[in-house]
Amino acid sequence: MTNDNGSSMPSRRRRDRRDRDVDVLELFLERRRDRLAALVTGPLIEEHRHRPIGDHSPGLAAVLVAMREQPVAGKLALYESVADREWQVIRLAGERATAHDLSGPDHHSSLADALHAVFVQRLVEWGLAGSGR
Amino acid sequence: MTRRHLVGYTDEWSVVGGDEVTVMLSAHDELTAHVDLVRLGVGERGGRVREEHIRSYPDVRVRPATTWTGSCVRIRMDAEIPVRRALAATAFLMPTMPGGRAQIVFAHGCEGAEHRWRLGLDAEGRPFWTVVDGADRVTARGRSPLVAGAWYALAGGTAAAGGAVVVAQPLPRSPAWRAGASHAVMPSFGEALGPSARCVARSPMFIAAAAAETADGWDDCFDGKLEAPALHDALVDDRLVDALADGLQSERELVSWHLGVNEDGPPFVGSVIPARLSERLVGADFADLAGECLNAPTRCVTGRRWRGVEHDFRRVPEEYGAAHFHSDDLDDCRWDPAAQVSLPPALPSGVYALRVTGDDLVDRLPLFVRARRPSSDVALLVPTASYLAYANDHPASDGDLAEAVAGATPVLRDVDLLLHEHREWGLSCYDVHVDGSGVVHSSRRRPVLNMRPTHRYHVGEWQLPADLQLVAWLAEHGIDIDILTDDDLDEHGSQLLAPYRTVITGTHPEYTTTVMLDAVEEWLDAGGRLVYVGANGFYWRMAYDREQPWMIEVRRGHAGSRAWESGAGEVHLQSTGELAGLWRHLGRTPQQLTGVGYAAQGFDRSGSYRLLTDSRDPRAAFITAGVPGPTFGGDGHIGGGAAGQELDRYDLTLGTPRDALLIATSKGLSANYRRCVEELGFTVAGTSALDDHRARADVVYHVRPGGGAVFSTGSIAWAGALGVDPDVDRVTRNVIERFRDPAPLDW
Repeated sequence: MTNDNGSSMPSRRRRDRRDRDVDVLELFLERRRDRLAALVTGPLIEEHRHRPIGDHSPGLAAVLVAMREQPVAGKLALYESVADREWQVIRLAGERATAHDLSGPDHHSSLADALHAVFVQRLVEWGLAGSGR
Repeated sequence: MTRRHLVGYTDEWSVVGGDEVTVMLSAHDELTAHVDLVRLGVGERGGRVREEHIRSYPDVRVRPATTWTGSCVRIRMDAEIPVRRALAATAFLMPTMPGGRAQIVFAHGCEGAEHRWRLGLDAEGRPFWTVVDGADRVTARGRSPLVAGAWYALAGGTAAAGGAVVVAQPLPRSPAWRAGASHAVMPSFGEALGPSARCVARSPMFIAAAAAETADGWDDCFDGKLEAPALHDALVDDRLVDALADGLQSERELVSWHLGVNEDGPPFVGSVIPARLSERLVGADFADLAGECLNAPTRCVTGRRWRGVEHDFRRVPEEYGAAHFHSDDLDDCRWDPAAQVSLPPALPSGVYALRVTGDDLVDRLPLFVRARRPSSDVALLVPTASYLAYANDHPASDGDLAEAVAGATPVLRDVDLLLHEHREWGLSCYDVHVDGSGVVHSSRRRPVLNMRPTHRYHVGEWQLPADLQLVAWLAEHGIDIDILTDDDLDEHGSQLLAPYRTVITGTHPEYTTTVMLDAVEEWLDAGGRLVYVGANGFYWRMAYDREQPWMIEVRRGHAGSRAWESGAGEVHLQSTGELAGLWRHLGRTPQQLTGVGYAAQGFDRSGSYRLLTDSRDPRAAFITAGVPGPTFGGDGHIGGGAAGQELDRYDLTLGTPRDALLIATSKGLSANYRRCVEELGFTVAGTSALDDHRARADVVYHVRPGGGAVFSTGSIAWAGALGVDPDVDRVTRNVIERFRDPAPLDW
């Protein structure tokens, strides 16, 4: 990007006020994605399907730590669409008073299935699993 | 589109038979609602509530009610303020989120009024001064946006050359160590030609907001700190601005308002904001220009003069001249009453609700009915202060760490969506304000939608729904109890407990005032017997607001398992002056009182218990009589076991009496159960229940020298196992029966 003077430096205002922590976060997320990619295998996904809550193998535990600490904006969650009978995968707004996105078609008749659907969708969105897995 | 709802609140939570209760209601649309008094049982996951109908009241008409959020000060003016030269409005301010929307610092006149003026920050964060006089209108706007976290002297008025002017001058000694003021702080100045401001009669003035066009409302609230707002009969020139920035009082000041600490306190602050009138105004038509504080800004906060040396506002009140206003503060919804209902005079003590139904919608407004005179030797102390601390919490919608804490993806229900979309119903002491500062106050004069029998937290039953499992179990086992609440205990002290041989706690009595803690200790010293059926109790010091006792105050300090941290120098309670924080850091550990104290939390799955050697001690054999062992408590509504959610531990180093008996300890906890942060001096691996034996729940029994006794379960999930796990039933019943027996306990 060039400024009005043809220089490739950002403008002074932009240079002064940007939060450079974002640069480190981007590097970190890249490194973590590579680390998680090496962990995600078919058996790991099966382990989560069988046991979405509780103690897990070190590999699955590491993947879940990364998933669970994501910021709330755009994070996947569940909505109990029918009390104790149906759970829907939703996306959180991350902004107060802005409705969460309940438009997704993904409904499940068991909580365990719904928890696993969130897990798989996150893997797909991170490019760590195909949508068919 | 507004989500369909029917919600309400009552003026009081703690009542007795025969009381009149005022009911406030609102709905998404106008509807007719039926009102019944019901005795509450368990609220089931499917939404059914096991409740007993007591009586019906006449139907009521419910209309959508408006809630005005945002703290501010309203000043009613009876007469015009006489000005000879020109009116100038000034204030010291520290914005916390300038930009994004207009925010008003000081305003006169309703929106749409013939004459009005506004001093504030525009949507770019720049200072502005607007005067409207009939068809004439002018806005002077500063060129630079203000910086969050920096202190400024702000002035709006008439320039020396005529016309409108606004100036924001950075203060030279701003305490920037806490601030987001990490880049250059520049003055901001702007001028424009137009009419001059006046203060006309019968037109309200607001600090930190502006009067809305609608009667009695206010909006465009300010987020940040304000100090010493004032009006002057002066031009806004270098002389005035330099005097303000140097901390000198303008000789042309007409009136200023004191938002800081009452040096003669307690009370240290009140809802009346005193006005200091100049000699010119004294004796004029201004009997008083005192302001009325609305929606509880955080008071006793560091001001522009704070030096970071003293952290107790009582020692340096002059450094605590500010109030922190938030656009999402709320002390009372102030809805018009929809009904007034009389409770039956002979209503037995218990947990009831006014059930409001209409248009296929329902809400239940809990009422804790005390006995007029003690009717049992057992009381249940309902932890209403802790209910309030969590009131309308938004963990799944707002909390980045909610899923990590729960160890599972959060499940939201309709009520969570409603609370997320209706922010005007206020925040909990687990939320942060929109500017990132912690929520210090929580009020019960609003719909508290997570205090409903069918509510499920993102981690399961929590507070009232969990306590109702205990209430229902006691009723099923024929154990008559009198209901008491934290509100009553804070008001009456140990006298409230004196008639009862046995007191049972709720599942999570986390917050106590000094009066409450003293009362429980005094009662135990006098021979009382406490059944502590919970965990993470007696943990935070808090206070009830003295003027508005329907509101609590929490300051979290800088340690403990905390949703936010207090600002530097802001850990003393404005209600009492006391240093707040964890009781363990105030010299009164929960272990000293109950034998156990907060150790760990998990939430994904609950564990069970294993009996230990002390369970066979002849003095304690009554506790586990009939329990085959060696384990018990492996089933329950909360996480599938009796040891779960938050856990307390026996620890001699933290004050567990040396002769206390350790009856049982938890087993089968997952890796998601981790030691509490206040016990971790350094962050090391291995703090989960799989690696650290101190991340656990303990059942502890102790008889005190005066004959008083405490039985503690060490787990919030214990109540969820009542009626499910026969051994948990047996232990609980054994303890209560023995405690009710007046015979001295063996020790």
